[in-house]
Amino acid sequence: MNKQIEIEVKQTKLTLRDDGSIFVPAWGALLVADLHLGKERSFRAGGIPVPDGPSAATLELLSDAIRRTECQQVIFLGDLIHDGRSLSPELIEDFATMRSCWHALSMHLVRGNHDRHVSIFPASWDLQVHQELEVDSVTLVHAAPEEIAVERYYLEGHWHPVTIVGRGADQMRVRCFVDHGNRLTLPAFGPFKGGMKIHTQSARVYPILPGAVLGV
Amino acid sequence: MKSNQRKPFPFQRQTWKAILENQNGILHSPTGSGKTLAIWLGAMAQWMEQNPGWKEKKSNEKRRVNRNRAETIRVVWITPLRALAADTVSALNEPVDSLKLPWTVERRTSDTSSSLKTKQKNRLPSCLVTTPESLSVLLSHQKCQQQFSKLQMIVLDEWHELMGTKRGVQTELCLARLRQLCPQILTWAISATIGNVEEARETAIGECCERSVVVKAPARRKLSMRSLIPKSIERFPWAGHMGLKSLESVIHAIDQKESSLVFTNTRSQAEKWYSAILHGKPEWAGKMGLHHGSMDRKKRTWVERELDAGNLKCVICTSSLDLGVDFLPVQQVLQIGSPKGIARLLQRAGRSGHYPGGKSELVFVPTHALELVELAAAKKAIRANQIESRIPMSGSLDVLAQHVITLAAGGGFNSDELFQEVKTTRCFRDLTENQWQWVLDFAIRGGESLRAYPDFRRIRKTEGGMFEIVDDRTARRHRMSIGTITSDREVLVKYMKGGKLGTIEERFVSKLKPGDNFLFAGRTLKLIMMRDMTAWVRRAKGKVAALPRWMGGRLPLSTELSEAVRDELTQAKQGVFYGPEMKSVKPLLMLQAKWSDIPDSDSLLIEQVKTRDGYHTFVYPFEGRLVHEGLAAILAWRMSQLQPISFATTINDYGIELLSPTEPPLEKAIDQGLFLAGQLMNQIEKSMNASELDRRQFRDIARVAGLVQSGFPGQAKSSKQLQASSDMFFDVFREYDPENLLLKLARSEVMEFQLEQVRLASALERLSTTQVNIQFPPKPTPLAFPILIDRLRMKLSSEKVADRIARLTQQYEKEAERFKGKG
Repeated sequence: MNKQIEIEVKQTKLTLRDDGSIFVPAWGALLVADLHLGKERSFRAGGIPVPDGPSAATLELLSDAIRRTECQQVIFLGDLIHDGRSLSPELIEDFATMRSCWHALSMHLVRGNHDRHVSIFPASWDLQVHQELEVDSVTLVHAAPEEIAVERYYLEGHWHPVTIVGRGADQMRVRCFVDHGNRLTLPAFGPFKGGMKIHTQSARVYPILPGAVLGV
Repeated sequence: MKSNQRKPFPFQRQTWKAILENQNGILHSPTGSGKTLAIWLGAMAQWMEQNPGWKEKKSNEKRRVNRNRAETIRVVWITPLRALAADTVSALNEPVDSLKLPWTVERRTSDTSSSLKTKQKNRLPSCLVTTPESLSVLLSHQKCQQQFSKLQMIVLDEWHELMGTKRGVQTELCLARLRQLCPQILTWAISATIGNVEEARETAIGECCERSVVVKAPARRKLSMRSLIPKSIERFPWAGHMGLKSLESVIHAIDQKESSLVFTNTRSQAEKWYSAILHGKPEWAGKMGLHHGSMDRKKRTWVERELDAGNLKCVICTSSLDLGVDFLPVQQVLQIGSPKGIARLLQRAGRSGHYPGGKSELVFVPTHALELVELAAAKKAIRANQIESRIPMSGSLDVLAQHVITLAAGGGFNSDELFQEVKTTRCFRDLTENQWQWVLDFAIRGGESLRAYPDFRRIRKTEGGMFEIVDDRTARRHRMSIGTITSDREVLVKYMKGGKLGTIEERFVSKLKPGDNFLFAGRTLKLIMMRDMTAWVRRAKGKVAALPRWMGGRLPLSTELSEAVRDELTQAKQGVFYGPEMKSVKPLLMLQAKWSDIPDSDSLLIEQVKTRDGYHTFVYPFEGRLVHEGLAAILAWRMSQLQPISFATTINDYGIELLSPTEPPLEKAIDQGLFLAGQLMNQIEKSMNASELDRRQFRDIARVAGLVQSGFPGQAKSSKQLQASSDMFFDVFREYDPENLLLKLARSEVMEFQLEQVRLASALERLSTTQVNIQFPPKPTPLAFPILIDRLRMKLSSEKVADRIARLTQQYEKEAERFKGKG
C-alpha cells in the first residue's frame, strides 16, 4: 500500500499523492486541479440550500499538502472558482488568509473554463494567471488539446476523473489519476466536486483510496 | 353518445342521485367503463338543477361557446397522466356538445400552449382537466386561486394510481386548499378495485367522509388467461428481462387476431420488442405501433387514433396505455414479463374485448421460467378475488415543504391557518406543531433557524404576518421544479431536419458519442450532436449500439402476489403441480430440489455458494421486495456484529443475497438469533447507518425539495453550473450540516416506508418459528440466479477501512500482475 506513487514523464519525476495533488520535486511545485471554490455559495445564490464548508475544507487540504511537500510554488490547473457568484467577501478573505500563511511561495493559475467569470482575481490572493505554462517538455493546462505533439507531455485537470475499484462488497467509486500516454489528468481537489467515470482501455489509471494511491 | 342509446346502469343512476343529494363519493370497479360518464352527467345535472332557466337563455343554434361567456370554473378533473388529459377532454366534451351546455372543457398540463395558459390565468374554463403538478402550478398564481372560489366539484380520475405516491400527497394538499377556497365543493374519486377502497375514500375526501358514499360498478366481461409456455423449459432462461426467446410464438399469437395490445414493463423492452417483431414480420410495417411515455405526444396520438380506427395489427406499449379510453378493436392483450401485481394484470387484461359480446383475453409471455410460477399464482389470486391494497403515504414533509412554497407564491399564507388546513388531509392529520415549524424553517431558510444558510432565502414574513415568496424569479424557479416529483433530467430528441421524437434521460445520452446509433421510438437513430438539452439525430441504418434505459421502471412484486407464489411453491414441494404453467416449470423446480431444495411456507431456505466474487448467502423469505430490503440490512448488520466482515446485499421479490469476500458466520448467527424479532427498532437504526439506506431515499427527497435541478427538455440554457447529483448533496450535508432537515427526512422515510417496522417485525416473527434449511448447492440454483444477476447492491461493513483497503490493494495488484503476464 503506497501513500504516494512516483512516475516519470519526459525525464521529470512526478509524485502522485493520495489527496489528488501532484508534487514535482524538480520544480518544487505542488499541482492541484479543479478546486471550484465558492461552489456552495453559487448554489445558494441559485436558490439551492447548501451548507458552507466544502470550500473551507478544500483550502485546509491545500495548506496541509503544502506543509507536507514543503513546496516552493503552487500551480492551480484551472477552475479555481466555481462561477461569477462564488467570490463572496468570506471566500476572498479565507483565501487571502491562507495565502498570507504561505506568503513566501509563488502561486500560479492556468485559467479553466469556470475561471472565465472572473477577469481579475483579488490582489490579496497574489496569483500569477496564465493561459498555459510550459516547463521543459511538459505543458500545464486546464484541458489538453486533442492533438498533442510527440515531444510534449500535458498535465491537465477539467475532467474530474473517477473509477470503480474492487468487486462485490468491496466495490467503490473513487477519484483517480489517468495517464493517457501523452497527458495525465488530475482528479478534482477537495470535496463536493462529483466526477465523471472514465471509459478507456488504453489509459493507465491510478485510483485514490483514503490513505493510498493504487498502481503497479 | 352510447348512454343515449342505452339504459343507464344501476351504478350510474346511484352516482347521479348521490351527487344531486350533495354527497361526496368514490366509484370503483375492477375493469369496466361508464365510470367517467356516471360522474360527469351527475356534475351536469347538478348545474342544470341550479340553473333551471338555462334552456331559454340559449340563443343561437350554432354550437360554439365563447370562452369568455361560458360558465365559470365548476369542475376540476384531475388525471394521473398528462397523456390521458386529451382523451378525457374529448370524452367530456361529447355530452356537453350534445346537450348544448354553455360549458367549455379545456386541459391544462405541461403540454398546454402558453397562449392558452395565459387565457386560463385570466379565466378558467368551466371544466379544467389537469394533472396534480399543473394544479399545483395554478395554485401558485394568485389570480387562479381567486377564480377557484366558484368551484363545485373535484373529480379524481384513476385515484388508485395516485394514492400511495408522493403525487397523491401533492393532490391531497391541493384539495385541502381548494376546499378552503370553496367549502361547498364535492369530491368524487374514480378508482379501479383495490384491496382498501375504504382508505382510498378517506384520502380522496379528507374530513368530509361522513357525507360520502362508495359505489361499486360490477365487471361486465369474462376474462380468459393463458400463457405462452416455452416448448422446452430446460433451454428457457432462468433470468432475463427482454424475453425475446418467445418472439415466434408472440408473432403467431398476434397473427391470430385482428388487433392486439402488447404490454411490456419498461420502455426499453417496448423498443426492443417493436423492432424485433418488425424484423420478424416486415410486412407489418405501417400496421404496428409503439407507444410509451417518452415518445412525442403527436406520435402517440397517431398510434391511438389508428388503433381506435382498427388499422393496427398490434401496438407495443408500456403502462402508458394502462389507463384511459378503451379501444374497441382490441381483441387480446399480451403481457410480456411479470405483471408484478394482481390488480395490474386485471387492469391490462381489461383493455381488450370492448366490442359487443366480447371477452377479455390475456396472453402471458414469460421472460424467464420463474415468471410462470407468478402467473399461476396470480390466476389463483384472481379467482379468490385477492386484490392488492395501495397503502397511502403519510407525513411526506418534503412534499409539504414544496406545497408551502407554492402557496407563498400564490398570494401568501398565514401560518396558523395553513397548519389547520393541512391537518384536514389524511396524510398530515397527525402533523405536530414541531414538524410544522420544521417545514416552515426549511421553506423559508433552507435549514433550521439556528443553522446559518447565508444569502439564501425563499420566503419572507410581511408586516401583516403573512408569508410571501421573496421575488418573481424565485416563484418562477419554484414553478419549474413543481413537476419534478418523479422525473429524471430529460433531453429532447429531435431530427436535424426538424420534428420531435420524444424525450430520453440525460444519463443515457451522456454515455453516447456523436455518431453512435441507438434505438428510439421504433427507429434506429444516429446521434449527431447534443446542444441545449436537445439530442439532434438523423435516421440511420446499421448496427444499433445502444438501447435507452429509463430509470424508475422497477416495479416491486406486490406482497399479495409474493404470498401467492409462496403457496404455489409449497404445493410444488409436495409434488402437486396444478395447471399448465406449474406443470411446465416442473423440471426446473426438480433441478432446484436436486441441487438444493424447494422453499415452502413452513421452512426457510438458505443457500450458500462460493464463486470468484466471494461467498454468496441466499435467503428466501418470499416476503416481497419492500420487506426484503429492510431484512437484508438487519441480517447483514446482525452477522457483522459477530466478526468484522463486509457485505453487499441484493434483493428481489423472492429473496436476499448477502455477498461477502470472507466466509460469513452464518450458523453462529442463527444460533444467536439471526431471525429473532427482538431489539428490532434499535437495530434498524444502526443497520441503516451502516448500510446507507437513507442515501437512496435521499434521491427522491433531493428532487422534490428542488436541490437537483431538472431543467426542461429542449430548454436553451441549462443552468449547468448549478447541477450536482443527489449523492453529492448527501455527502455535503452529512459532512457539513449533519442535522440538516432533508437528511432527517430521508432517515424517517426509510424507517416508515422501507423498513416498515410492523411488517418487518411480523416477517421476522414468522421466520423465527420456521425451520431453517441450509443448503450448499454446487452452483447458483434456479432460484438464486435471478438475484445474482440483479446487481443493485447495498453495502454494509464492520471492518476497518484500512483492512478493506489492504485487501483491495492486494486484489488490484494481483490483477495487474495477471495483466502484465498476458501482455
